[in-house]
Amino acid sequence: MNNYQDWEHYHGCIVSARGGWKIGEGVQCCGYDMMEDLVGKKTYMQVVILNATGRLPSKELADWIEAIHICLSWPDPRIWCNRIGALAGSARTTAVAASTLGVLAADSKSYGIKPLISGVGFIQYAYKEITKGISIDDFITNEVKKNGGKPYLMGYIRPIAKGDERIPAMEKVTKDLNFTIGKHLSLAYKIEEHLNKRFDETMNVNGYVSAFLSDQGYSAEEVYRIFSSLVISGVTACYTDTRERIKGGFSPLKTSDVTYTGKALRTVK
Amino acid sequence: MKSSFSDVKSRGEQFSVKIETKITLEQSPEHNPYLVEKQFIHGYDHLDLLENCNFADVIYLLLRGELPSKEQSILFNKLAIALINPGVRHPAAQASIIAGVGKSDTVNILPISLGVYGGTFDGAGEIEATIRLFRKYAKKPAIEAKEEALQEKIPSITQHYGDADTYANTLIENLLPYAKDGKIFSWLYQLQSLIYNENIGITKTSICAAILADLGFQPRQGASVMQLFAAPGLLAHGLEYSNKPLTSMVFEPDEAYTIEKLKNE
Repeated sequence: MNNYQDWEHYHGCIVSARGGWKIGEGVQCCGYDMMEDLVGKKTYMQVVILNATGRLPSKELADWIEAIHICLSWPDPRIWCNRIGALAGSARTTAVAASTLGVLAADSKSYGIKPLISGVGFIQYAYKEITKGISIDDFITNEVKKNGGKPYLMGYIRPIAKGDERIPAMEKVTKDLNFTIGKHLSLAYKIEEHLNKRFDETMNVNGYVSAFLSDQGYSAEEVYRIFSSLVISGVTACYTDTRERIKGGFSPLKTSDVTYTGKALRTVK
Repeated sequence: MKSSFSDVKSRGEQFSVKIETKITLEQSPEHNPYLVEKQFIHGYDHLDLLENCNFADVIYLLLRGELPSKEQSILFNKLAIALINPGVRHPAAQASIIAGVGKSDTVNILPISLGVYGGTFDGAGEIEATIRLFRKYAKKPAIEAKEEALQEKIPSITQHYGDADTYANTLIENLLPYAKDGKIFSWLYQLQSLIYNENIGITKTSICAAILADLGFQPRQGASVMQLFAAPGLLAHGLEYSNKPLTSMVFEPDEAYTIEKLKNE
């Protein structure tokens, strides 16, 4: 008996529960025959979600998730991931390099995709706590204490601006697609009311998405995987703009634009 | 039910209007403010460094703000060589090979392989947490961390393919003469002597974490420096395959490809 049996199981072969191409037989995708069951019958976003979670969602839910992709990928090159795309265009990389590098940048704790993990985790935790009997006000007080007295609840408060124009847009999508407000989203609104009263702060789009998708039965990790290329469209747009202008034309800096605050000039020897 | 608070107002936060750096000072010629006539790195003329320093010393300067002492320079170089080649079987090297043989744009080979090397399996993914924890734990005798180590509760102290990592153990022995004066390296070395016979051990990540911490690197610098050290080996394997045909890479036959049922099917 050795200690590497677990790896021997995979040695010289591939085992996948997601699918694959059997030459001459067809392509399987999470239990579906890709050409028979999916192509032309399901939307691209349905298949994206299928591949990320192993479960095929309804077209309505996939449409909702597609809409939020639009909300979270706008072509303003001041947004951090988009700026990577703009700089890449200015530096004349390829579009694929620029777009994927922008997505990598959005794998950030501060914005983009990773906060969705905390957002879903937060609202699901909040629901459990409040179901146990704690009041929303006390819950908020406890959370604020954890953050040194600041109301930094995941899914609430937005950097740079107060309020979030994406929420009413998504509320309309939710209504148009005939989704009802579930227990997590309902709680998210109630927390917003209290937070606004006490701290003049509101829900952000992360909070809305996290609560809505919690109601649809997704875990935090599943949401993160579904949205793994969330910002790509805006990044490509910013790349395209600067790629069509002069080389080095995005945010060019003169040497005098940089403030040097380091060591005085010195010599090695 | 809908959000009543969707009016958007700027918070009026003050963003910087200029880039500020302690690292680079550039001076322009009179005729063009975008061109460079002289460049200084942490105060040293770039050309002075070019003439009088080796590559690793200038990397050290860029990241730490000072040129290394002779001992620090030797240790930093030894560590860089210790980690220079994760080996052809490492997932990051295999990714590099796939990028090479698949004729991915060669400018993408290194980012692809370094991205995979950023994982937590024998890579840089855990080094930040490891440095933080080692800095704290090394204040106490290694024996106090033994039980936690044996339960694999300390990051980067684990098994590799079911056993203690033999090559990491070889590397720590070989680095001992250069790193033994470091408090955190010494702690790690002692811990290894307490746990290795019980088939749990250090990893290349933990060696890197201990030495970088002793050299004064900050936790957030750890992953990038480890990626930098491993880059040459990863790149070499990808480039080796970049002129080979697609058929030179393994493509498992259908008989060796099992499609399992999804658990929720």
